[in-house]
Amino acid sequence: MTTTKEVNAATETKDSGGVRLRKEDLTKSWLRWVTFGQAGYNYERMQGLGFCHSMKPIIERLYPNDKQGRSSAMKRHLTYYNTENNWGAAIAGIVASMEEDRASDPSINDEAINGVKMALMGPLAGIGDTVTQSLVKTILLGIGCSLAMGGNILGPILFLVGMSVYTLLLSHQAYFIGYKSGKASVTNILRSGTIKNVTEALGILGILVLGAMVASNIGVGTPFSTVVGGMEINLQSILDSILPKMIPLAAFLVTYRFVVKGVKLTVIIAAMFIVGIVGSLIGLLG
Amino acid sequence: MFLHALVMAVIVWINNCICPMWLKWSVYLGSPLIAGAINGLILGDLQYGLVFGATIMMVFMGISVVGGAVPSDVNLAGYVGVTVSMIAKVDPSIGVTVSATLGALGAIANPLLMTLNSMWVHRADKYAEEGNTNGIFYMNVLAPMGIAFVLYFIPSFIIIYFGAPILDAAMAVIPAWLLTGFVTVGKLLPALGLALLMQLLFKKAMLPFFMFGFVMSAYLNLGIVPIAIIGAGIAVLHYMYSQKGGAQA
Amino acid sequence: MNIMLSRIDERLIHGQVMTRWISGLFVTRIILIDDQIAKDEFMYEVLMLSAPVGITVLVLSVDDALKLFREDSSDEKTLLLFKDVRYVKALLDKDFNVGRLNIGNIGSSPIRKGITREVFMSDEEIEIVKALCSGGIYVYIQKLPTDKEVDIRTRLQK
Repeated sequence: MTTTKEVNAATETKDSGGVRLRKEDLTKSWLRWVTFGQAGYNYERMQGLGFCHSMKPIIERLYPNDKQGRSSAMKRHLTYYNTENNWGAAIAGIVASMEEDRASDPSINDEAINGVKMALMGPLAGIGDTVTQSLVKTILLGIGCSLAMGGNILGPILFLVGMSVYTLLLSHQAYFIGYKSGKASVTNILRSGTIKNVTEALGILGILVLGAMVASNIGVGTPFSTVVGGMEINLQSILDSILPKMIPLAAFLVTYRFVVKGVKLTVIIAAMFIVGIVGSLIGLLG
Repeated sequence: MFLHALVMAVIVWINNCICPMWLKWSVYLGSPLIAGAINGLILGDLQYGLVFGATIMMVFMGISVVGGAVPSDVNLAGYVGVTVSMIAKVDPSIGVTVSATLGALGAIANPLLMTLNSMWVHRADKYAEEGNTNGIFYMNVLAPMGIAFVLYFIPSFIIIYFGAPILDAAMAVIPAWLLTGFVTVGKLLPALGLALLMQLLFKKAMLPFFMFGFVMSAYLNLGIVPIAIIGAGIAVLHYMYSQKGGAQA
Repeated sequence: MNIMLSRIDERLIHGQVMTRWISGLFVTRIILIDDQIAKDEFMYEVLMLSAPVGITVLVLSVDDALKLFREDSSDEKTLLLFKDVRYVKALLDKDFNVGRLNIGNIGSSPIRKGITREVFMSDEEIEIVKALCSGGIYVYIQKLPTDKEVDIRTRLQK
């Protein structure tokens, strides 16, 4: 974890003779990214407006009286930019660090800074999309929905708080590690295989929670029962003795088969309506 | 009802422009779940709202945003769809139909928003020429709010305010056997969301863990929280072993 | 060489879009052809490190790529990836015709204008694409495998 002391130390060991960024500038920059990074999302520059906005405190600190400096910095950062919001914060931190160096060393040109942005926005988007949306969101949503289905208001609250904590913590860490260690931080993490192991571990948790939800959140059963030769036969009990939650599992597997085959979602939903209504009518499903 | 529609429409509007990104992942992508809870509180039937929202959320669960493209507008589907349906007191299965329809409509609005927002980029270029850093705030934050207001606030309000009574009236003519059928459908629908998720998460080597989770719930009847905790422990173990080729922590 | 797809995508090998193409076509090898990136140590390393699991990634200059095409006799399903249209032209100039070129995504820049929502091209790039078309390459726009193919000539008339 990057501590305040370490960040302050990083900003202090920078070469003298240049304006230095303060912790408050970096925090403001991070906050703007993680709040407004996608406020002006558009096809032409994607997150370009948002990224430039996050650089505003940095630019204002480095070029308080230099209109030309401000102008070229703004132009530099209005370029096309698109990455995942949480992991991509690292790029903002790295760029902040490079801008700080550039203010005293003009040999760090536009191409160098842009090059880093372009190189990293892709990989971080790849990692981020997977971890944030497929993994973290799934796990938190799974727990949240299951709790809510049971009538527990902690469900939505947990989801809200959980996602927010993840976003804020991760982006904060990413930003400041990026600022402190520059682009080497990203290559180091990629090289160490940590990402792969974290992704796998989360994948395990995700698929485990998924299995549990198949059993608990698909509430279909069968109310069918009949009398044969004086003996009452209850279909649900019979099925349960073979495999509890067999019908939910079957429903899941069949649906999965259709999804993988590429059947359109509207068709699947329509099919479920038909099966559900007919099944309920003939007393087989309920 | 007017106030209710107003509040929901404001939420939809804010979600599409100034919503902080750290909230967006939950209030945007998790909107059915949260909408259910909020509406439950407003309408005074929290239990109904929680179950309703969760059921709809289960269906939309597998939807993720790929490179800026929104396949189905979960935000609209959640806040507008859930609100309209809950005011009419329908079964979650009807709610899913309403939400899915609105989601598809929203998927048209979103590209429009992103196309129109390009206007602000050019204004921002001019501000950059002048070295005016405040300009970026106007263009990134304030300006898109206007577009989103027209595209999202106005339609949302109209749909909720006028749509809910229409849905209510429609439900009154539906026979009882059909209504029971809908309840069954509502129980089936989560399978879709779970199937979509499986598509994202599937790895053959992980299948044992899927079965593990299934068994913990189906046979052992454990709640989701203990299951998640056990699952987290397994995940941490896996991480430790794969990091160092053996636990040395 | 078993080339399943030649594609221009500024996002290169990352993200969900590329994942769809890789799994849709069962590609196991991606060759990125770009003289500049092949020389850029940082980008090269980042690309190699973030290759998807199970996919071989090669980053080659035009000349090295041509050498590989001549010597490679495997039928490994390959995706040819480009960031810049000029390198497709460079291949064509040295008698390697990719046949079909998919344009997935080119971002906007001060010198580019919009062709479609996600494809922006400068005048120079438009000229290059026109040269590719007259060189016998079918150039089309298609972001995801499930999207429709759009012949780029229909978009360049404007």
